[in-house]
Amino acid sequence: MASAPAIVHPGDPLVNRLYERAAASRWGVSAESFAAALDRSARQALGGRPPDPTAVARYLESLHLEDLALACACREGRPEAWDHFMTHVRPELYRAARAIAGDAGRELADGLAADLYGTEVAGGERRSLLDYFHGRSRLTTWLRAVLARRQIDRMRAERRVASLDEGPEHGSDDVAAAATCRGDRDGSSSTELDPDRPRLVAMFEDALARAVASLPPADRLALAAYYVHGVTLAELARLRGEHESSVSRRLARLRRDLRKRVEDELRTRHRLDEGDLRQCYEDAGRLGSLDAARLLADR
Amino acid sequence: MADERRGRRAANVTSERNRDRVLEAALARVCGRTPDRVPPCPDPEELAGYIERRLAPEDRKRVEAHLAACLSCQAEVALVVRSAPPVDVRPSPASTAWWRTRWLAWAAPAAAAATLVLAVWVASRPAPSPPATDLGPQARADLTPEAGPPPAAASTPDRPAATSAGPTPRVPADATAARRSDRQAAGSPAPAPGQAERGAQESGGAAGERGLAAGAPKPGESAPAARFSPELPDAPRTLAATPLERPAAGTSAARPVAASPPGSEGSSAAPPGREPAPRPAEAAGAAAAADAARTREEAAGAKRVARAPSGHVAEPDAVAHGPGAQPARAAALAREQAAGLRAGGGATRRFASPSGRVVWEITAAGALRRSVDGGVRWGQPQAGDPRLVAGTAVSDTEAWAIGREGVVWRTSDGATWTPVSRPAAVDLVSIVATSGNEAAVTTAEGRTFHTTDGGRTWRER
Repeated sequence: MASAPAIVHPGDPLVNRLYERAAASRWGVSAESFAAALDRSARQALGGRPPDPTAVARYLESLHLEDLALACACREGRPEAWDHFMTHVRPELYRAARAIAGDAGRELADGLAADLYGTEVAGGERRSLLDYFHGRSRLTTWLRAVLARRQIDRMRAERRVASLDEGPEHGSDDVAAAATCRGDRDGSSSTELDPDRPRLVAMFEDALARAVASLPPADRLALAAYYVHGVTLAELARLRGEHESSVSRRLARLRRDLRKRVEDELRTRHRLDEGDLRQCYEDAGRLGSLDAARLLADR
Repeated sequence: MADERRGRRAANVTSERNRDRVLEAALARVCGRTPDRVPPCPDPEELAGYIERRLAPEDRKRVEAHLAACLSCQAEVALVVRSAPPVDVRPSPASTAWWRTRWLAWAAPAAAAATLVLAVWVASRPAPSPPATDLGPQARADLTPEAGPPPAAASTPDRPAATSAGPTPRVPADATAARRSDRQAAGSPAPAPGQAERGAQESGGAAGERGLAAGAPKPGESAPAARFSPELPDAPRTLAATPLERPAAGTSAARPVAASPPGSEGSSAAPPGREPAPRPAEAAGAAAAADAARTREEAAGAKRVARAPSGHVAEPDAVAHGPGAQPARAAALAREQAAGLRAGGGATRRFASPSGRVVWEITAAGALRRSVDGGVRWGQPQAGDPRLVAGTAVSDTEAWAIGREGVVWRTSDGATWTPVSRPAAVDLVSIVATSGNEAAVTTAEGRTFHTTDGGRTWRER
C-alpha cells in the first residue's frame, strides 16, 4: 500500500526556519530528520484532513520545537542529547513519578525511562516511546501524562478482592448497599433503617445526576476534578486558565444552581413537602463520603 | 421574642449549611459514577496539550467532552495537574482587588503625614521663576528633573511585597470544611495516589521557597554582587492566575521577531490563530503603549487577571548602588522595578547598573532596550525572548537576564544581548552575578547552577 505523501518537506523555507529555531543541529539532528519529525507530527494532529498549508504552518509554528528536537536526537541515540536528558529531564521525571505514585514512583519512573531509551530492532532502527512525542506539548508535561496513564492502569489492574467478612461488595450506584455497608455516621445499626431511606436518597441522587448531566462538559469536568479527584482550587484555576477566585465563585454558583434544581424537582415531580425534603437531606447526609482512591480499583 | 427570631435565623443558616454539605457529598458520589473508560481516550500528548491549553479550539472541545465522561481520563488529568512542578504561589497584587490589600489600613495615616510634609515643603519653596525659553538640548537635559522614570511606579504604593495581597476569595469555609469533614467521616480513606505526596510536595514547595531565600547564593568576595533574589515567603499560599506550566496565550507577549537566536524558542510559540510578532520598531511603540496602559491601570486600581509567569517573580531586595549613584532616581527605579515585577507577566521590567546611569528594560514582548541616562531616553529595543522576566547588572556594560524555562541572556557591551546556554529547562527564580562571566542562578525547584565562563557551561552546586 502506498504511503501518504509527505505534508512537510525538507528544504521548505518554513522547515528551515523551524530547524534553526529548534537549534536541532546542536544535538546532531539533520534537517531531513527534523523535517520527518515535523511531518509525523502534522499527520498525527491533522489526521485525515486535507492539508491546508496555512493550517499546517500555524500548527508547526505552535510546536515545542526544542523539545521535539531533543526527542528526535534521543530517538536517534545521540549521546549529547541523552546527556542533556539525564541532566535536565530525568530529575523532573522522577520527581513527578514520586508525586503521582508515592513510594511506587521510582519503579514507575524506571520503567518509563527504559521505554524512552528504547531498543534497537532489526534493521538498525531504534524503537522508543519517544516515537509518540510530537511536540504538541512540553516534553515534561507529556512524560507526566504518560506516568499518570500508567499509574491509573496499574491501579485498575490491582483490583481489591472483597473479603467475605466485609459483607457484599457494592458498586457506587447501589445506594441502599452503600447506606448499609458504609454505615451511618452516628453508628446506628443497619437493621434500624427507615424503609423509606433508600427511596428518598435515590430520588435525591437521581435528581442531582440529571442536573449534573445537563451541565456543559467544562462544568462537569470542574465538579469531577474538585469533588472526586481532589484537585485544589488553585490547580483547577491553572487548568482552566482562570483566576482562583473566579473558579471558586463558579463552583459556588454551580452548587447553588444544582441545589435549586434538585429541590425544585423533588417538590414538583415527587411532590415532597418540606418535611420530606428535610428527611431527604438527612438521609443523604448519613451516607459515607466517596473514597476516591477506591473508585478505580473497584471498577 | 427577639431571641426566638435569632434562634430561628441561626437554625435556618445551620440548616442551609448542612444542606450544602450534603449536596457536596452527593456531588462526589454522583460524579464518581462516571463510566470508567470511554474509548477512544485521547493519547497522553493530547491530554498534555489540553492541560497546557495548547490544543486548537475544536480539539479542546472534543477532549473536554471526553474528559467530562471518562473517569479514568479525569483521574489522569488530576494526577498530571497535581504533579506539576512547584510554582510561585504569591498572588499578583494586580489580581487582587485594591480594597482588599492590607496597605489600606495604614494608607490613610501615611497619606495624612505625606500631605503635611508636602505642605511644609511647598510653603518653604521660593517663588517659581518665569518659564525659560528654549536654550538647547544641553540646557533641557540640565533642567530634567532628577527623578527620572515616569511616575508610573512612583504612584504605586510601596506595599510590603509578599504580604500585600489580602486573602484570595475561596470556596465558603464551611463548604470546604464540609468537603474535608465528609472525607474524614468515611474513616480517613486512603489518600488518592499522589495526594499525600502532593501534600508533602506543597509543603515542600513552601519549604523550597524558604530554601530559595535562605540558600540564595551570596555575593562574591570582592566586588559587590548585583543581586536579585526571591522574597521571603510570608505570603499566603494562594495562587494567582498562573496557568499551568506556562503563561496563558492571552497575555504572553508576541513571539520574538524572526531574528531571535537559537534557543529562544520553546513554549513561547504562540498557539494557532495568534497574531504574528511585531517588528522591533512596532515592539518599541507597543512597549510604550503598554507602559501607558499599565500606568492607567495601576492608577485606576483596576482588578485584572494577572498571569504571573510560572516560578517566582522575585523582587529585588537591593538595587546595587555604586559610586556616583543618584539615590532618588535609583529609589524610583527600584519602586518601578518592583511594581513591574509584581504585576507579573506582561509588565515591563527594568534593572539598573550599580551607578544608576545605565538602565535596561525587558519589554512586555521580551525585547531588551537600554537607557544611558538613567531612564530618561531609550534606545531601540533589541529582539529578546518573551520568557525573560528579570535582570541584573554588574556594571554599565555587563548584565544578565533570566526567565522562564531556564532562559539566560547576557550582554558584555551593554547594547548587544545574546542568549547563553540554559542551565536547566525549568524556570529561574534568582540570579547573583559577580561579573560578566560569573553568575549563579537558582531554579524554581531550588537547584543552583554556577557559571564562570559567561554562561557557556553551567555546573550544578
